[in-house]
Amino acid sequence: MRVRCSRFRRWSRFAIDGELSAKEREAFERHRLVCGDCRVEFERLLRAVNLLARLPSVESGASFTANVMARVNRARQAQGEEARRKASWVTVTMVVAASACVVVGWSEWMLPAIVSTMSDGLVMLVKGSRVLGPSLTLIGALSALLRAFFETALTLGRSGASYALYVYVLTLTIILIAASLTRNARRRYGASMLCV
Amino acid sequence: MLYIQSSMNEQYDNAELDITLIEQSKTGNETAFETIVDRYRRRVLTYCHRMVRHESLAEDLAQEVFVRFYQALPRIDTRKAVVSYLFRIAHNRCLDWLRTRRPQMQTLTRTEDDDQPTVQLPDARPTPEEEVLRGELLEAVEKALAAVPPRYRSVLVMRHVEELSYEEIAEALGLPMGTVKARIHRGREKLQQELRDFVNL
Ligand SMILES: [Zn+2]
Repeated sequence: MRVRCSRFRRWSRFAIDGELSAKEREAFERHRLVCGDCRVEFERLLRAVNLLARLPSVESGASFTANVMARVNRARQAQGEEARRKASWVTVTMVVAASACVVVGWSEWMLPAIVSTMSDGLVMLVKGSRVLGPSLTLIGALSALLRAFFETALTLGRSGASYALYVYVLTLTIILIAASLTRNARRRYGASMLCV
Repeated sequence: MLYIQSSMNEQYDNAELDITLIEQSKTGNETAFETIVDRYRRRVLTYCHRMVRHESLAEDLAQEVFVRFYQALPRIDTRKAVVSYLFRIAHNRCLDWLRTRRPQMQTLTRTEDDDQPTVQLPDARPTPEEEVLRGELLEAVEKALAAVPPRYRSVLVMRHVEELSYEEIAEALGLPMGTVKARIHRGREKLQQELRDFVNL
């Protein structure tokens, strides 16, 4: 195989990485021997790369690992506080939602069902957001609510259905707000991890 | 025939040990994570130092890399090389820093670092070439490297200082292999231009 200068230059990067076939390598070497210009050019490139490869590595200070662990623990504490804030916010939401039900004068025997539905949804929101991620959790919480709404409507008939709809919309709004807050917190905190 | 001499070819590629350590770290075993830090801190620090050319800053960035790696542990896929994750974070952090904060730091970088070549490792066996490389030449290479635009510098350091494979670099940068190769090729040319006084003999 005959190699001209242009091909030699194109091949030099592959030669450096050892990516030429045996046959190509042989032709490459032959041209290198006979063509002074190409040889000089290739040697410059080689020399630059070899200089780079000989740069020494940098040793860290003795406390490097200890410092990393200290920073890890600091970050974990901050994360714990974030979770606590989140949890307390969810508690507040549930209390507010439950009070709202009382305020609209919900009949005594419906209240437990509504509260348990809401807490189902919210508990799922909190627990699930760790495992499933916010969007899946939200879908789960909403479908739980939707199911509760239809069950209520079926049990109570038309007038009950309009009440149920009211509470459903109220709770939906609250859960949406809670979800967006959770997601914001996640985004803020998780931003640093997105790079992985 | 091999053209490139290797410098840091140590027994870092003990993949099975890495997998064990990552799995233990995932369950909250701090000692396992400390071992990971100990195994890779020199490489991560060297990369950061070559990128920002400032000792204490590089150390700070390298520590941050491990903190972020720790936070990312739940999502780490043990089938992928640890170096890919570490250098991905390091690459993002260093480029981020170079993009946003370099202007303010430039004076500091110049006064602190320019006259002072990096610490030579005590256990590195000095060959005649390394003796020559010390001092002036070493400083020249560091300067030349610093003059190469960051995105080329990053892959050059990964490839020729850290000796990552193309696969590992592609995985770290989330780029196709062809792009990585082209970028490294371009980076070498730029480095050669910066080093012309030293390679044009
Ligand atoms: Zn030629």
